[in-house]
Amino acid sequence: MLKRIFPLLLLLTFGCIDPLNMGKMKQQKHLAVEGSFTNMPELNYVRLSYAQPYDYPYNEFITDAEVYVTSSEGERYNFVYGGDGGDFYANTAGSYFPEFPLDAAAQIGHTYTLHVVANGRTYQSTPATVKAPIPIDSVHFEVDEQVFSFKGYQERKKWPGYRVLVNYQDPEHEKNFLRWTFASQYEVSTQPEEYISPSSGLPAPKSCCSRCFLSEKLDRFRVVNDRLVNGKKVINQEVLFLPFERYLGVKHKLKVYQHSLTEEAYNFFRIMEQQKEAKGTVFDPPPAEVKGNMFNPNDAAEQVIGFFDASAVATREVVILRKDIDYPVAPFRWPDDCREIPGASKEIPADWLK
Amino acid sequence: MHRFAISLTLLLIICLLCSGSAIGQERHYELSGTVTSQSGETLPGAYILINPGNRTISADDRGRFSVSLPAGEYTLQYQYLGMEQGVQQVDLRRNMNLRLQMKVKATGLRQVEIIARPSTDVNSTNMGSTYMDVKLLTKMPALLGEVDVIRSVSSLPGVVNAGEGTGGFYVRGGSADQNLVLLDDVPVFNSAHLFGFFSVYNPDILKSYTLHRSGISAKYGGRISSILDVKLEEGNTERMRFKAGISPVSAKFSMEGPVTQKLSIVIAGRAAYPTYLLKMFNSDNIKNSSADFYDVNVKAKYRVNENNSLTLSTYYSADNFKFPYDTTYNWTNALGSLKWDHQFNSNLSSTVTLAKSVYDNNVEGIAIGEEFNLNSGIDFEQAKVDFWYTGVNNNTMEFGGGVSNYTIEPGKLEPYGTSSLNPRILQRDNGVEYHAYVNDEIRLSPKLSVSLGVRYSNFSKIGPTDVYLYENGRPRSETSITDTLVYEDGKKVQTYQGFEPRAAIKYSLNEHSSIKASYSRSRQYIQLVSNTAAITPVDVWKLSNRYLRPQVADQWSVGYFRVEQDNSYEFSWEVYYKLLHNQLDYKDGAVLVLNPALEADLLHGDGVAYGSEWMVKKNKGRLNGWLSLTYSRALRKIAGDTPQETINNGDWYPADYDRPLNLNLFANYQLWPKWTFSSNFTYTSGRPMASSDSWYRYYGHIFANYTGRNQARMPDYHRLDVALNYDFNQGKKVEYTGSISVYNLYSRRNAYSAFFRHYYGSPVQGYKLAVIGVPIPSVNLNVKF
Repeated sequence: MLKRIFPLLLLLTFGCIDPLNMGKMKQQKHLAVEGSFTNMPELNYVRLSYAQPYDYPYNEFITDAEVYVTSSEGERYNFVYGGDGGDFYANTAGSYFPEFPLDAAAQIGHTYTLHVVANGRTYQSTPATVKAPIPIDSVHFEVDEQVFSFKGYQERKKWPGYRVLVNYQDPEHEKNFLRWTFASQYEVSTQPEEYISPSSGLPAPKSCCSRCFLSEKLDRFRVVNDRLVNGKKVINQEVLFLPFERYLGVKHKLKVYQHSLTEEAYNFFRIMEQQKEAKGTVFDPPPAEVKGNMFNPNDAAEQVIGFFDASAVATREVVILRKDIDYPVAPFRWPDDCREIPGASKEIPADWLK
Repeated sequence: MHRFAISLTLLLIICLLCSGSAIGQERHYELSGTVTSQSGETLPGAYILINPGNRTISADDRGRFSVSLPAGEYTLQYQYLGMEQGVQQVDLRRNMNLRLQMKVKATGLRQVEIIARPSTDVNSTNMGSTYMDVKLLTKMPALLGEVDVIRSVSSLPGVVNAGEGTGGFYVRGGSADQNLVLLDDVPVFNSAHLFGFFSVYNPDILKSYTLHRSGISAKYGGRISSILDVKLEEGNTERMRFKAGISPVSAKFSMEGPVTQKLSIVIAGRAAYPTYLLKMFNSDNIKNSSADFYDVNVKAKYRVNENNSLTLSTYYSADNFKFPYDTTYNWTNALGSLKWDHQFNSNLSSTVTLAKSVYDNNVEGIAIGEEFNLNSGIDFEQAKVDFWYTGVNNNTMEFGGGVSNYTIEPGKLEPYGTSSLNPRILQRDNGVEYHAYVNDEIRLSPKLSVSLGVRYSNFSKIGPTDVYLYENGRPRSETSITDTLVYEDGKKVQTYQGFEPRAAIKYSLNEHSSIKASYSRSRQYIQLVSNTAAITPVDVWKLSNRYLRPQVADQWSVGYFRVEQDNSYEFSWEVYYKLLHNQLDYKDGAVLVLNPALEADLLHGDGVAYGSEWMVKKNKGRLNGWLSLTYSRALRKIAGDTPQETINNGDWYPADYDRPLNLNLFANYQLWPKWTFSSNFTYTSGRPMASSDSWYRYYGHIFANYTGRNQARMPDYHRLDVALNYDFNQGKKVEYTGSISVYNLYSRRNAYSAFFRHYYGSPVQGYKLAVIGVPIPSVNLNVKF
C-alpha cells in the first residue's frame, strides 16, 4: 500500500529513474531451476536455464540435462526435454515434462525431491511434503483500472479490466499458505481487411483471418498466508487482473489453480514478489539474495537459484463472455491477420463451445 | 564493569580533593551570573573572557556561568552571535552574582562581525559537540522555503543524511534510531513532516541546537550514537513580537513576549497545504490524493522570583496522507515538558523536569473486503532532576537521576464492514528505565582539565506479556516455538542494567589550542524495527526483551582543537573508534508488522565504526563559513548459529550507514549591507547496496541475482544549494526579510536507491532512483513586528 505513495512523492518532487553504471560488480553464471510438481499432471514441469552476466543479453537454456523426481515413498518420475517450443514467449524453452505425463501426479502427504544432472554436476532440492488443497468456493469479477504490461510491449499503462476474486474457507487448525496460477484460453477478433502494407504504406487488405484463439499460462508470485484470517471464510481475495483489451474481447475461459504451499515455498515466492515489485522506494526493504531450496550436494558453496515447488492444487474454471461485461469496452484493434499475434492459432480448442 | 565504575568514582573523589587542595591558601571567590539579551532572554553558550588570566568560559544551557577566582580586579568581555560585545570591570572581594546584558547589534558592512561563536571550546573538555544558533541556521539555503534543523545537522562532520524524502540522519556509523532527538528536553519519535521535507522544529521560534557525538556528559543517555538537543525561544520580557511567513506550500505565524512582568509566552503555528497542487495533476489517483500537516507550539515561562522559574513547553502536530480509494495514513505527535528551575545559592542550582511524548499512527484501509483500522504508537513519560554544583574550587559538577516509562502499542488491527480480516491486537510493550549520574569537570591546572562521570541505567521489561520459547538448534521461526511463558500485569519480565562510564581529558598546548581525548559507554533499551533505509510513519519501536538485548556502544576519541585568539578561525581534528554490541539486522523478507514472534525475524550481531573528522571554520569577515571533511567506516558482523541467521557467511560487511567520504562546505558572503549570499555543498560516498552478479528469467519475469548484503555501492551523492537573502527595513519596527534559494542547483540526480529491472526493448540493467532530480527554487517572505 505504502509503495503506491512513492510515485506520487516522486511527481511532487521531480524525481527520476536513470540507468546505473554497473561499475566493477563481479559477474558470473549460475544454474536457475523452475520446478513444479502437483496433483494436476498438466502443471508438472521443470525448467532449467543459466543466470547470465549483465553484458550477455540473451537467455541460455539447458536442453540436455537429466531430470527426475523421487519421493520418500519410493516413487520415481523421469522428465524429458520438451523441445524449444517455438515461440520465445510460450515459456516452454528449457522445459522438461514428465516422460509419462498421466502417471506423474503428486500424492498428498508424500515427500518429493527433484534431481538434476547438468553439465556433469549434480543438483537436488531439499525434500518437500505436499499439503492438502483448499477448495475454491467461487470465482467472481470486479471492474477496475490497473497498470498492466502486455507481453512483448514496452509500455506499461493503465487498462480497464476485471479483478479476478476468489472466495474460500480457510481451514482452522493449521497454517495455510496459498498461491494461484492460471490457464487462460481466449478468442480474439481482428481486422485483416484493414491491413496496411508497411513497405508501401498503402492499404493491402488480407482475406484471412479475423478469428483466432490463444492459450496462455499466467504465473503470479502473489502468495498469502492465513496469519490474519485463520479459520475464516475469505471473500474477495484478489488473485489476478485481466485487462478487457485483447483478453476479454469475445470469450475467455479461465482456469484458476489454487496451490497449497509449504511454508518454505511461501517464503520463497513472497521474496520473489517483493523483488519483482521493488522500485527502490523508501518503503521497500533493501534487495537481498533469495535463498531457494536447490543445492549442489558436492559443492555447498555453489549458488543455485530457484525453487522446486511440490504442492496440491484445487481448481475452478469460469467462462467470461464479452456481452456479459457491464462496462463500455472499445473493441480490440489489430488491423492484421490474427495469426500474426504471437501464440495465436486458427484452430478452435477442444471443448471451446461447451 | 562494576570494578571499572568503582575505580572511576574513586578517581573522581581523589581529583575533587586534589583540585580543592591544590589551590592552596589563596582566598577565592565565586563569580557567577546570567547572560541575557536586553529583552530578558537568556543566552546559552555566550562567551566570557576573563582577564588577567585569559580564561574563557561559556554560559550553560540556561545562560548561567560560574567560576571560582582568586580575589582581585578583573575585566570581563562577553560576546554572543549577533550581539554587541560587552565589557564589565569587576572587583572581586566577595562572592558575586552578575547579570550581563547584551544589546542587539546594528549590522553594518564595515563592522567585523562575529557571525558564529566558535564551535569548539578549546578550554573545556567538551569534544565532538557542535552548537548551532538559529541566526546562523537561517542563513543556510532553504528547501521549499524553510530552513531545517535536521537538514543542517547533516552538514556537520560525521553526520550524513538518510536520503531525500526521509527524516533521518546517521551519526558516526550509527542507525537513525540511535540518535536521541529532543525538543525542549522531550524525545521526539518521528521528527519528519511530509516525508522529511519539513521537520517538527519551527524555525521561527527556534533558539539553538547542540549535537553531541562524542565525549557526551553522563547527564545524557538513552541512545548510543548522538544527542540532538534542540531548544526553543522562551519569550522575551520586553514587548510582544510577531512573526509571519509564507511560501507557496506553507504558512506560519508566531508571537512571543510578556503577558505580565513575570509571565512570557511563545505561541506558534504552521501549516503546509500541498493538496491544491495535487488537484492540478491530470491523473485521477493524484487528483484524489491529499497530503497536509499542521503543528502548534505553546510555551510559557513564569518567573516566580529571582531564584525560581517554571517553564511549560508543548507541541502538537498532525499529519495526514490519503491515497485515493484504499488507504489513509494519519500520525500525530503530542509533546510536553514542565520544568522548574531553582537556584539554591550561587553555587547550586537544579532543574526538575516532567516530560511526555506521545506518537500515534493510524492506517485505515477502505477497500471492500479489506476494511480495517491499524493503530500503533508510543507513549513516553519521564520525571528527572538535574543539579549543577560549582561550590568546590575548579569543579563543575552535574548530578541527577530520573525514571522513564515506556508504553508501546505495536499494532492493533480492527477490521470493519465486509472485511475478512481477523481482529488482532499485539500485546503492549511496557518498560521502565531508571537512571542516575554524576559528572564532574575538574580544572586541575590552567592547562589540564578532566571530566569524569558515570551513569547508571536500569531497564525492566514489564508484563503483561507472552514470551515464546524456541527450539534449540533450529533457526527461530513461528514454527519452532516450543512453549510460551505468560507474565502477568506489572510483573518484571527481563531486567538489564549497567554502568556507563564517561571520561574526557583536555590538555592545553597554549592559549589557542588543546588536545583532548575521551571515552564513553552508552546503552540503549529501545529501538526502531524497520527494514527500510529510513524512518517511515509505520515503523514500530520495540523495547529490549528476552531476545532483544540492549544496544551498547563504547567510543574512544582523540582530537586536536585550535581557535585563533580573535576567534576568526578555528580548526579541529578528531579521530574516533567505536564498538557496537547487540546490533540488529533482519532476515530476508522479514515480517515486521503485526508479528507477535517478531524476534524470530531479527538477527543480532556486532558493529565497529571508526573515522577521522576535520573541520576548518571562519567566523569573521564578509566571507565566513566552514569546511568539514570526514573519512569513516561502519561495519557489521552477523554470525548466528545457523546459515539462516548469518549474513555474508559471518564476515564483516559494510553497514547500511557506511559512507566513507563526506565533505561539506558552507559559505556565507555579505554582498552589500542588506544582501547576503550563501551556499552549501555536500559530497558523500554512495550508500552500500546488494551487488548483483547476474540476471535470470524466472516464471517469465526478469530478476537480478543478488549476492550477499551490501557488497556494492551506489553512486556518490553530491549537491549544491544557494540562497540570496535580503533584509528589508533593517532596524525598523516592522522588519521584512526575504530569501530566494535553489536546492540542488546543478540538477544532480542523486541516487536514493538502486534496483535492477528489465524494460521491454532494452537489456536487463541496473537503475538508480532519485527523489529530487531537478533544481528546486523557493521563495519565502517573513515579517517581524
